[in-house]
Amino acid sequence: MASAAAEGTGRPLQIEGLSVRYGEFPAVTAATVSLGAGRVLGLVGESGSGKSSLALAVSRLLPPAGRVVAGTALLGSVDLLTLEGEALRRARGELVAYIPQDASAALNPVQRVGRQVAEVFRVRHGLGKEQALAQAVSLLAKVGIRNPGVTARRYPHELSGGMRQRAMIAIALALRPALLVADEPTTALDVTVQAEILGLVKDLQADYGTTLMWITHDMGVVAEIADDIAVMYGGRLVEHGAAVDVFKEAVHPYTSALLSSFTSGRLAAPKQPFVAIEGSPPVDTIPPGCPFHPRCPRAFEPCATAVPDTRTVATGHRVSCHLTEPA
Amino acid sequence: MTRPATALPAPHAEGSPRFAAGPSGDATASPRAIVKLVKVTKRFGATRAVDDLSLSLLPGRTLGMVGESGCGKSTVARLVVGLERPTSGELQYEGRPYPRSDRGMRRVRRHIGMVFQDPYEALDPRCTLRQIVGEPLMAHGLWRDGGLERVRTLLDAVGLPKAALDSRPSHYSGGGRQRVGIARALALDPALVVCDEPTSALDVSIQAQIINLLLQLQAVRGLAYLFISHDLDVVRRVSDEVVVIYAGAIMESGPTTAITTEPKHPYTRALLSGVTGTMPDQRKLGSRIRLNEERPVPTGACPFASRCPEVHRACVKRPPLLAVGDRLVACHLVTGGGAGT
Ligand SMILES: Nc1ncnc2c1ncn2[C@@H]1O[C@H](COP(=O)(O)OP(=O)(O)OP(=O)(O)O)[C@@H](O)[C@H]1O
Ligand code: SF4
Ligand code: SF4
Ligand SMILES: [Mg+2]
Repeated sequence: MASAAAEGTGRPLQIEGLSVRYGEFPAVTAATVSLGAGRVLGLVGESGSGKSSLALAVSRLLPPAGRVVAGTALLGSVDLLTLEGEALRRARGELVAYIPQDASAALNPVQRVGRQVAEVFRVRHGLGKEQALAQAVSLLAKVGIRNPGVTARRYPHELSGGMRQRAMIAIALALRPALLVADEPTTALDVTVQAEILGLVKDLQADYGTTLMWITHDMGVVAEIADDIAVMYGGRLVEHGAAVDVFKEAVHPYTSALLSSFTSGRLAAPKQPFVAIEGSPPVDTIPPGCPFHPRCPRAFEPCATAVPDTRTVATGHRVSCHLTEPA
Repeated sequence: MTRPATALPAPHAEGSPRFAAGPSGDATASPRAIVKLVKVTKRFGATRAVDDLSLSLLPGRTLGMVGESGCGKSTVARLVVGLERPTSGELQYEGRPYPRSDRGMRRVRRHIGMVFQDPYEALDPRCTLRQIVGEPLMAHGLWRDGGLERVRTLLDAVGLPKAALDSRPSHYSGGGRQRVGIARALALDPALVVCDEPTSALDVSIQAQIINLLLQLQAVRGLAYLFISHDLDVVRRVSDEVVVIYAGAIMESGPTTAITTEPKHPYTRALLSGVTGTMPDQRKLGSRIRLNEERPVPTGACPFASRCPEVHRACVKRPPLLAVGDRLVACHLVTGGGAGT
């Protein structure tokens, strides 16, 4: 399955040693992620853990204050991080498209929504004006926009947040990129709408063979759509592997705490307390050593000072924790 | 009203005689509601944000309210805390209608706290926690009477260090700020706290902390909660009873376990089917119930008719909200024409 690259539009993604800084602050440190063509990665972590910075770096959309200080991100044979000028302009959309958490900032405020979707069909797929608009309207309907014909003639500010989000998703889907990066695009949506959009993106992803990176802090979303999972904490990748393996047997204490909080919450009878992770994620500074050590129930002698190496604990399952060191 | 003793001294013991007074007109057998909504409707122009809604908020109990965005949940919250007045119908505090005068309403509002969705917007970044949590005490002239000590106790009760007194909200992440918001909501020792999406803006690991904190505070202080969320899974964890709202009206209500294990109304069933699975090898959303496109519904029809996958001829007439066992349901399939329950 993972190697169906030739069939779909998707390409394999190999991120190697990626580090991103805002000034001196290390938002992402030495992140290595691999994702087969046409597979879906669930990238998980708490706010501030570096998920969005990693995604923005790969999508080449880091804000001016952000800098990639090391690493490569190969999509097929193209290093996304070194593209410039015309090649970069073409890569955006053809190679990689990014769906932000908040669509309001990403849509053009002075252009009708239908037109913005139609432009993609015109420019990217060479359709005529009428045909492009017809495709746009039908895609708007597919992403669950009611009255798509009417909505297409509206400006972004005339739509609700959920509607704007769906329009944004329609644009990204219309692009049919080799890699689609979705940054918590359903977090603010209602449960029935979220389920609808997850189902839709998953269907289209499967049809087109798009490689998909889906960022979320919700393990339920990962369980539902991801082939692989990558867990970030304090800017580092702490666990990475097939979703089935990690859900069955998480090795890193942070991942297992996240998962037991998630499942115990689901199983708890009404009004029964359930497992929580104590403390909060780091805000301004990242602790030395293992970034999770101030909250880790299993922290021991080396954790506060030495950053753990990343080890392969089973095929395709990598973990950064001193507990995995050979005795 | 029986409220367990608490470590927190009531700030103003004789503050509530007017409203804590004996039984009022309706002497029913069930425990007396702190706040009751009787056939409340709220219109904004042509929109009925709240439509003929009746419910009771009982001491020590949590009523969870779930529904999609724009369905009127926040309007209910604003009505309960007295920030909006109903177009028709009545709200009662301890059996008496909400006072008409602003002064009277202020006295009622003392007993009703509110926790907001976005802890980043709800707290003034320029103020210290002492000022933020102490503000309600000052506003009600209760500061001089041990206000500072009370703020310390409140910070402790929500799990913030006492040294936090002089820190500012920016020092905390979302979870810490929501703790500050909860401490503030409890400042006047309310009987009822309205929580409008209190965990929606928080990370999942922090959501668990805040939910556990709310449960613990309720157990210790006998609080009543109106807990509002668009997420049925979150509502399920904190509620004794759940009420499912669509277009400002109750579709189904009843005990949490009954509603979430055996939903009867098509809308409740759709909401539940949208809850994600827990294991990657047991996916759920493939079998989710798909709702129809929303379209204007003819007057007098079931408000859910345009979305309902089970709409049928009878639905041009609005189904009444009827008791079915221990719950209320508004759907012809469940209550109408001999169709089984
Ligand atoms: N002040 C107002 N003026 C006009 N219309 C309003 C006002 N407040 C709310 N509405 C309308 O009332 C309906 C219910 O709104 P409300 O904010 O209560 O919904 P909600 O369920 O809380 O939604 P969300 O989850 O998005 O906050 C909506 O149609 C909304 O547009
Ligand atoms: S390295 Fe140490 S502190 Fe970090 S997760 Fe492993 S045991 Fe816990
Ligand atoms: S009354 Fe009809 S339209 Fe309304 S919920 Fe029941 S089946 Fe659906
Ligand atoms: Mg609301």
